[in-house]
Amino acid sequence: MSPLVRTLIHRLAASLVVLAGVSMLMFVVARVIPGDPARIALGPNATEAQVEALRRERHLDQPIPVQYWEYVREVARGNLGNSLYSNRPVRQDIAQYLPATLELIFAAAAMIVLIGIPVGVLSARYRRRLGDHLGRVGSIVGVSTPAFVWGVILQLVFAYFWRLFPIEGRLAASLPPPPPITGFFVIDSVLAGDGKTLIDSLHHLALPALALAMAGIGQTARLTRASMVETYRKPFIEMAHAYGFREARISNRYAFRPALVPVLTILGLDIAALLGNAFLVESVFGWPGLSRYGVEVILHKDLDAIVGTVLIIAAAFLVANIAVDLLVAVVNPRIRFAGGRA
Amino acid sequence: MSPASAATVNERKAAVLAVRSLSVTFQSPTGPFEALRNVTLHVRPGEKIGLVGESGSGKSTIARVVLGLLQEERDVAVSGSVRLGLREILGDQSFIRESRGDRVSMIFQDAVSALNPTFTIGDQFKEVLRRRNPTISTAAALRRARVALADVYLHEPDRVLGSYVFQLSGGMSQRVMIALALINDPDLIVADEPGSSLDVTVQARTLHLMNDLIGRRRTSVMFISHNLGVVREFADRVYVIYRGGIVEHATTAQLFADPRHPYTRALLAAIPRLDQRGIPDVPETIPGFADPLIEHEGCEEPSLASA
Repeated sequence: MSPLVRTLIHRLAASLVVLAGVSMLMFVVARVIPGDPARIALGPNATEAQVEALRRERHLDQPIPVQYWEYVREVARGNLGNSLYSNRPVRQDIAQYLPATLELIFAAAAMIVLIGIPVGVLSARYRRRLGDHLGRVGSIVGVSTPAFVWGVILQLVFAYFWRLFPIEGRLAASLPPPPPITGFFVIDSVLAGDGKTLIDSLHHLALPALALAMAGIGQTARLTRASMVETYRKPFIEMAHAYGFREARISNRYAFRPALVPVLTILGLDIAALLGNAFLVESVFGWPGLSRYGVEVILHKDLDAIVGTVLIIAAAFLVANIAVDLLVAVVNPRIRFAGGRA
Repeated sequence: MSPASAATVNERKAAVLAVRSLSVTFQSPTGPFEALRNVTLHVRPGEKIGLVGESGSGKSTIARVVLGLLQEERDVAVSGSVRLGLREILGDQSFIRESRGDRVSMIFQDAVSALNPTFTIGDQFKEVLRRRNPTISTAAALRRARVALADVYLHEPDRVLGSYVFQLSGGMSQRVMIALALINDPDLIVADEPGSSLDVTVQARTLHLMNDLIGRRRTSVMFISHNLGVVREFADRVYVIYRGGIVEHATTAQLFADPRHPYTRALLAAIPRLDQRGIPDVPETIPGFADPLIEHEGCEEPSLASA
């Protein structure tokens, strides 16, 4: 077994332990905060007998460990429980809202990588020149302005004053959503061969994704620049110059690859953290995503839905981290050969 | 005789490298700092010269000017003349940019850190070979690299080519570095303290190997070292440099038999010897260190006209 595969298995196993811990913690936290979930779900007009019946039905009258055991049995069957509020399976709710959030996050992540890294590389290559100064000021502004402020600014400028982009939503009201295969409108409309829906969904996606990505773009540009400048001081770059390698080749390949390692590590955390910021952006742009759903269920003290949402977000975080570690191993042979332990 | 062939004849007679009145001043926030003062030196075809001095004396600055690297930096004033063959490289970077890695190459002090940690040795050979032949195929490049590695007695060339530098020992890395420096058959190699990061026995073997290969190809070498023993063994001629200026210029035999400059004498006296206790003292400075250049008989650069 290659060290990489062994590392992967090791990391996946560790992730399961983390998920189990997260589920326990959330399970308990959701239940110990004040407020009777059954009463909240049924509203003030329900009789005490009705509330009692719901409690019994959902095992809420049992001790928490027993409740947890019931929940684990449920999860093992592939369910995430039912909403106390709508009585819909939580799995179904998440399946509905998660793709919208993931679509937003993937688009933002792509912007972070495709804008942030090149800006940092060019900034380092032309360091201390005008373009570098502009890039650095822009990065600071990007990092220091919260995502929801970016959301409002972009909305005002591009959607309200210039009317270049729609103000909110995933799709124009006049268009039916594409047949759901992945839940990603962009991908589904490609699969359906529907160009009009594709363009409209990209059009709707652009502003919220950019608002979500701004901080990450700035952060990544700064980090890439710092890492590149550091790498430029290494003897192997002096050697590359002494051997006449072209400046562009040194910048895009010879210095880039070693400089990328620290950037990737932080990038993974940044992208995973987008999940948290997504809530505010989803609110500003009326984006029907999981983050909004998560806040709603917390306010309703919708027990299974809270645990289910947090579990899914934790799982996404773990997957993002493992993916980044694998990427780092691909870029950095020293880690690849040490089986992730260098 | 056509002008082209006349040039080739002159090229053959001319010094591979001729540095005249080279001065380098760094602009630093605390004011200008004169790193080189009026340095004149030359390297003839097939000749090995040594450049000896303490760290900070300006040896490496000379190397960086010869490779055209220093001129590309800001806040540096370079004046004088540096000719590579018949071409002046100060004031016009185009020729030296083309020449680096092809007509002129360099051996670094610490090969382990001078090789890129994220590319295989094979990739780095390919990159250097492309300097001379931009369209060389991967297969052809690896074939050339295998031969070059065999020349430096690395016996498993395929394993080495597929390795990253951290998978090789220091001695192996230094051999790889030598093979890289020689693979495009340059006219001039600048060797900056080669192997001084290795332990003494490995360094000696590596230097002998380098000397053999260079001797066979009649490549010119500029050896930069603080180690008089190394210079004595490998250089034909020696320049002693002190605080940015050449203080003595002699053939190796002349220098060791008859050191004339006070600084050279102090350097020679500072070589630790087994029959003496402790490490000898080198005075920080004495007035004599600032004495003008002493050039021994017969070391002058032959002028083109008389050659």
